[in-house]
Amino acid sequence: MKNIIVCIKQVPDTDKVQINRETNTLIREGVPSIINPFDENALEAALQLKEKFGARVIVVSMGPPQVKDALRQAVAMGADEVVLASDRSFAGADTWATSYTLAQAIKEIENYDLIICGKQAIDGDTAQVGPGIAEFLDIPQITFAQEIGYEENRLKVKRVIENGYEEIETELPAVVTVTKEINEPRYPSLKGKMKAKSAEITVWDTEDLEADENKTGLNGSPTKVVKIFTPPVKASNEIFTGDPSETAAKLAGKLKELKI
Amino acid sequence: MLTDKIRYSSDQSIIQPYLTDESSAFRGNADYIFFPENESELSEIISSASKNQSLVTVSGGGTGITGSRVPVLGGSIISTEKITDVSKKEPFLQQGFIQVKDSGYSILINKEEKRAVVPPSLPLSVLNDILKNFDLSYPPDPTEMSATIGGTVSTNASGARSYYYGATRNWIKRIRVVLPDGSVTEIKDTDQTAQNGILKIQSENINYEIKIPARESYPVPEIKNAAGLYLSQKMRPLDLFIGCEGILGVFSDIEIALINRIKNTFTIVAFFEDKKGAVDFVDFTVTNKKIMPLISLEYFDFNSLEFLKTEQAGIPEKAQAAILFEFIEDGNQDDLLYKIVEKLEEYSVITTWDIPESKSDKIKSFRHILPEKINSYVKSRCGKVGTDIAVPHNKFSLMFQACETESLNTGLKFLVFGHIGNDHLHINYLPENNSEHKTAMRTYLKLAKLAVKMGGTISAEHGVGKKYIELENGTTVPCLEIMYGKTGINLISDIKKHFDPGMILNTGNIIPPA
Repeated sequence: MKNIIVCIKQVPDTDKVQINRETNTLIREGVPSIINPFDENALEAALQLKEKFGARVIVVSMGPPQVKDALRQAVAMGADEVVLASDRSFAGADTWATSYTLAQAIKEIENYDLIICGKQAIDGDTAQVGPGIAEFLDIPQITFAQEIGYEENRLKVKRVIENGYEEIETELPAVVTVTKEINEPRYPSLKGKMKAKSAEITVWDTEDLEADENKTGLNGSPTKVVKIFTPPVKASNEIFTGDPSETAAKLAGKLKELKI
Repeated sequence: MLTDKIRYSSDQSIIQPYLTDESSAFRGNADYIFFPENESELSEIISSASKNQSLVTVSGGGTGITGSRVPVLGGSIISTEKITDVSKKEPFLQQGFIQVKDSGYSILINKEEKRAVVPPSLPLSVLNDILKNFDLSYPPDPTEMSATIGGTVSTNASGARSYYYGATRNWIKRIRVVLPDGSVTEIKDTDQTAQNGILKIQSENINYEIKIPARESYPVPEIKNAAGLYLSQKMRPLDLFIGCEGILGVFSDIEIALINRIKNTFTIVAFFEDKKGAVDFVDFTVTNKKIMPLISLEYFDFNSLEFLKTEQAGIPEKAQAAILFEFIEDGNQDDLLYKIVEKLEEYSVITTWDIPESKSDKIKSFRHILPEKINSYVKSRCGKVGTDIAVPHNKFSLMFQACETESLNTGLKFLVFGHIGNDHLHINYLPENNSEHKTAMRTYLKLAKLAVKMGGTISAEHGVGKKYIELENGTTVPCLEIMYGKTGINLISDIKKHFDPGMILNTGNIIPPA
């Protein structure tokens, strides 16, 4: 393999995130940003393929300049090259416009054999960008990979399905999205961290990508968010309080009553 | 007769959980358990026990592993768990402290002066959660954060960051103690230190004058130590109670010193090709603290890493040892990072992990998972034999070598981990049968004696509690005898009898019952 491209997204650390009760949106202020965990799995998968078969690992992201932090972390983990697609006109992109922009960046890189993405981002949970990229590039896609094998120029992927997995083979280039079962991402090394501090980050704007402005950012996004709300909780809870023995007796009584 | 409202029970199903501790190595029995809700109830119960000459054993969080809270001689248990509020609030509220309630506990905090007053039953985890909101930290960080603050003061607990911040002793400003006669005394860190070998302590009833033994007869190691009473010619009254394992009194209020919240820490794990590389890297770090301002240094040997491999992928197969260390990012760390990278390369490092802050809790939890994994491994076998020895830094390399040689000679499975920055490692033997258990105990004895000879301690953090050991001649003695001999045991016994002539309170801890 020559080049493996990994797409990453910088997301708020959802362990530490809170919801604004009025707008029902994430409160992003003061929340640390991390690489989307599934994208770390994607990068780890790429690094493992590189170690086995030799390749350059190029990490691509789209977002504002602060995404450079995430890209530096990718370098610290072992990425050879990082590219950021960043332009004010990319802001407000939905999954369609994001897929288009990333695909444009990937076209610029040329000579790619494999594109690996996390199965979804933990802030949006759509799982649409990986498949979207494949469509824009018009190449095969395999989603939800739990294992990626490579033999005689063909990719052999185990794809998670309910109650098991299916094995799919494809020619390259192709897009694969990975689940967290595929591997445990490595930690960046201290040496990698030092290297990352001075790593050059290529930044491409609309012009560099030869992108159609009507297809990027808010302009290019067919999705319109009409309303955001927290789904109503369906199950009702009953909380027993008091001494442990009393509480246990109450609970046992309730379980009997419900014939559980 | 006790006041009616004091809660107690003689129901064995309620008492049962208090009859052992985290180690499961001790079994006790008790007729009653008391749940005082404040200092005056605590005082009343102890006073009554003292008058009736009945034994009482105090229970904190139950996270100890030396049997300290286990009533092996019977009698009653006093659980401090319901003392969830500070007893004397008024003077503090007038001094700018504010009251904070969380998870059923009430504490007083003075953010400006970085002080807090807390009830003994407060778990460290709850304390930390509260302090986070004030951007403050309490530095002592024992591995087990469900420990109560009362328990940690009783054992002078320490943890990974004690390398930099010291043990609990450094962070206590004031205590209120219920003495074994039920009287209450308040002791501040500024109280008069021992003068001419005499330490004065005043309670409501009695003025105690404690004779401090000469250093020759009770040589307290000048390192992190949790074995026996702290006795030295310049000691503060507070020092007598911190780490006394409950034999001199029970804490009802504890005032602690705080620092600005420890944040922006870097966590690194370095894997070494050989153990010597790891030990030498630590030696350089410990002897060059100005160049390498780390706040913790933890060691894991090959077998410890083997236990952890089920929890964490990517641990290099050929790693014989690992050091986990932390330092505080102050915005200008590049020089330090270069120095660390450079130094590590001198010491056969295989790779390093730079743990992002979002994942540092997971890595640090390994230190906690490890003993738990060992405990579950030995449960179906023959128990474990674990050391808690530490030595002065200039002796560490020798001690490390001796531990290695002696442990290999046993032919037993063993693993080594611990607070290497404090020259303090736990060697855990995992015997498969009784004969192997005996071998492990013999090796423990040998190493403990060697540590003492080197000016070290047999217990740097666990305390000695009710631990006994069989000597070469077949006699069984309290563990502390290895360190201070019979003379030391008698000295402690004399001091205890000053406060507790009937030997009713937490009897059996540190020294034998009679």
